[in-house]
Amino acid sequence: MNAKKIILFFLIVLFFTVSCKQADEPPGENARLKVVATIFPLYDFARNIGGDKIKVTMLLPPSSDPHHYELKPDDIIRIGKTNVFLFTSFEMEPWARKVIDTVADKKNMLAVETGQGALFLPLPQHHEHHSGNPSGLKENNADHAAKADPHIWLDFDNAQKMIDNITKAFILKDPINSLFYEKNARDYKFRLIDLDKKYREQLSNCKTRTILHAGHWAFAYPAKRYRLQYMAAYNISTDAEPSPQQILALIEKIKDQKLPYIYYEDLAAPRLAATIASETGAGLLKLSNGQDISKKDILNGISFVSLMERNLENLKKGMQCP
Amino acid sequence: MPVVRVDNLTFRYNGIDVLSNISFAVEKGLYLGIVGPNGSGKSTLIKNILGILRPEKGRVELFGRPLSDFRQWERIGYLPQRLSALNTHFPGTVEEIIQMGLSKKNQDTLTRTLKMMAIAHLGSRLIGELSYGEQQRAMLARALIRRPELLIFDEPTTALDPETREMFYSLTGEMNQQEGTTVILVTHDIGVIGEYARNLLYLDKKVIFSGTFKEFCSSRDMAGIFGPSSQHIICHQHDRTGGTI
Amino acid sequence: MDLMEVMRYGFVQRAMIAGVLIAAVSALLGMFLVLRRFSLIGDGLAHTTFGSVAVVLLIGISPLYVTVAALPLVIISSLAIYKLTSSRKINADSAIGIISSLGIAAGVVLASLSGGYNVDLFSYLFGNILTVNNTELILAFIVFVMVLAVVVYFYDDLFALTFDQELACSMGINTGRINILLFLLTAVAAVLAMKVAGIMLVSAMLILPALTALQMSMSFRKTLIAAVGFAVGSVLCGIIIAFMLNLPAGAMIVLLNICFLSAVFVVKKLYVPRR
Repeated sequence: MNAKKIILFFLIVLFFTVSCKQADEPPGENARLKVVATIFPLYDFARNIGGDKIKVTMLLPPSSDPHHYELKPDDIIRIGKTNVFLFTSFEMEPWARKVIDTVADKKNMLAVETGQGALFLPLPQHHEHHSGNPSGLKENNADHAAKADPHIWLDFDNAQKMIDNITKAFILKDPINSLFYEKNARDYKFRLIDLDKKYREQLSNCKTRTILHAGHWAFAYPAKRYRLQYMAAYNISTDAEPSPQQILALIEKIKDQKLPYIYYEDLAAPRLAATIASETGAGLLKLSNGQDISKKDILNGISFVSLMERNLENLKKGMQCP
Repeated sequence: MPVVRVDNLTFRYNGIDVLSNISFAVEKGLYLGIVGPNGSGKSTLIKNILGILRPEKGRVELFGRPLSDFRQWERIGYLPQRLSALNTHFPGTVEEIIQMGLSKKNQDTLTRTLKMMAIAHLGSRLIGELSYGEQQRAMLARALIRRPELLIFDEPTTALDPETREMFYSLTGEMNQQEGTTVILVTHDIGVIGEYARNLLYLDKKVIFSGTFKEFCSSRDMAGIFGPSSQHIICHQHDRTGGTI
Repeated sequence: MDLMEVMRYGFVQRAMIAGVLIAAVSALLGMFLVLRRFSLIGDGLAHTTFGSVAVVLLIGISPLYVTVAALPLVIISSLAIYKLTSSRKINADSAIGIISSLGIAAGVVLASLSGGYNVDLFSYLFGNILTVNNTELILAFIVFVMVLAVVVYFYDDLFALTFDQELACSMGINTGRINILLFLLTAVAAVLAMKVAGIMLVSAMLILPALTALQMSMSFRKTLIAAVGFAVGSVLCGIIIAFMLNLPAGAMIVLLNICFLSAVFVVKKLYVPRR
């Protein structure tokens, strides 16, 4: 029977996949500090601070959504065996609490909320039927206290705070190498300060000052920091349809300000961006939120700093900065 | 050339023989009654003849051609025993049903057929809204509208009101006698057959009897199977409508 | 919100045209499916598309060709549903349930093998009618022409087949061939419609306009036309209302379909004398 054969085939595939996953780590890794980071920015920070004294893995597979991530049974075991578990915040990864509670060996594992002490911006409220205002425009002027915007690492001051939290954790767990960690952290922070300076200078004199983003709300932090206007098509949840009036608002804004470029995010096929672009003749530029990384990018050795540099190039181009 | 010819037909369902080595032929102009107890395979036989079911063994010929090569389906009018799940809300008017599959739809022919079946007033009603008797009339109209050379009816008059029954038999009797239409009538009620059919096929998974009604009534073997009193009743009935015995 | 202004945008026009084409296709195919008790097939095929897309993405086919690459698996599933049902051992709804669960489960396993849910995978489930591009519009048009041609050319056969399959067989209609054609077209229509409008919309547009038209107890021809009419109306009005009220277009279209259905039902109860 057709159906039976298909079921059998998939069961066999499943069996082989599961057994193959039991591949153990090669011996000799026990000397290094074991670190698990949830998303790419944390992973990259950890990599830079820890160097070859740690072994860090990224929990979330590339191209997955951290907010809705479903823990696999493997994951809890893996995190349990680790020394340091890095996550952004309970806002960003609400399931982190579950992990921490479930992990067997709490003595061994240190969970680090890397976003502690960072400056959080609230998420915008959804404006509906504003009479004066073209309704639905989500500008970065949230008036009511709402949930927090999790993309804190895009503010380089916050990033530095996160570096500090990670360094503290490494030192706690591996005091022998504390000087090593501290030096790396210092060096990395300088790179971030330098990056910040470049952003500030190069974005100071642009023709337009609007980041029009046909994607999910993510760039409030750099927008605030560098005094730019930011407009996004969707709010955070990945599966919402953009509201029709919001699409119109974005199109009208582009036409009003004669914006030559519109930004799209990585990974999600830029359908909305393409639609808006075809309607306005605007060009498309990619803007990375630091966390949506494709498998290809990781293989190509992408780093947080290089992503932010790429962003800067595209911001300059899009906003026509000298 | 027989209108229908069946050779050594065997049909199996779930490994059990429902029909076993059936052979018979129906010549043009015959009025054949196929009878047998419930579960004897009568409907199955019809479905095998019409190509609805495929037999394990044997062959069927329609109008001299093997079933697999047969294409002239307008020569056959079929009234099935039971419409599979007739939904009362099936969006089909009586007119649409009757003209189902007709390549040339002629309004006059339709009106004539509707009148003939005394359902002219029901033309634009949904088939599902009709009473059972009216539905059967519509289905008969559908079978007859092409003026087919062969009519096959599977238990057409069970649970029908007397008027419809009467209409049914007189119409088909007329067509058989005046136009030479071949009729195959399947029923489990042997008494009914006796009144109209001249030929008889008694089926109980195998052919028990095949021949004229006259032969059936004078057969000693049949007396043996049914008992002489039953045989007498059946054949006596036939006598009443003016048949010869 | 000025309606005329909204209609001037290219993307709104594309959405309406694509929507209308998909609505017509779904209503036509849906009528035959609903009458033969295959109402849930839209949902079932949506689940299968999920699984097929997961397979395709796992293999690593470029996103541009995913739709086309996923088609064969969905067609096979559709035909599998048909085969399971025609064997008489399994009901239509059970067959759909089997294939549908298989599709989802396979999709989940494969997605996790390829390392988590690709956002592209989700776009198949949640499509968006407001972001139709020209390629999809052309595809929608091609599918529309195909389905229309088949329905017109095989109208009598389809009618007979839908009324009573055995009867159709006795009329010399090649029921096997027509069935395969029907299920094949349904698979194609479902995949394309899903990419543009999302599962929710596809299943709804397969069933609801047909059900609404069926309430009106008209001839087959009129019922088909009415179904298409309701489907088209729900898309056009749905998109307009979505803009006016700033609500998701897809959901609005589905809600309108339900409104039509309720309205017809109520009118029937009130105005048609009980026999």
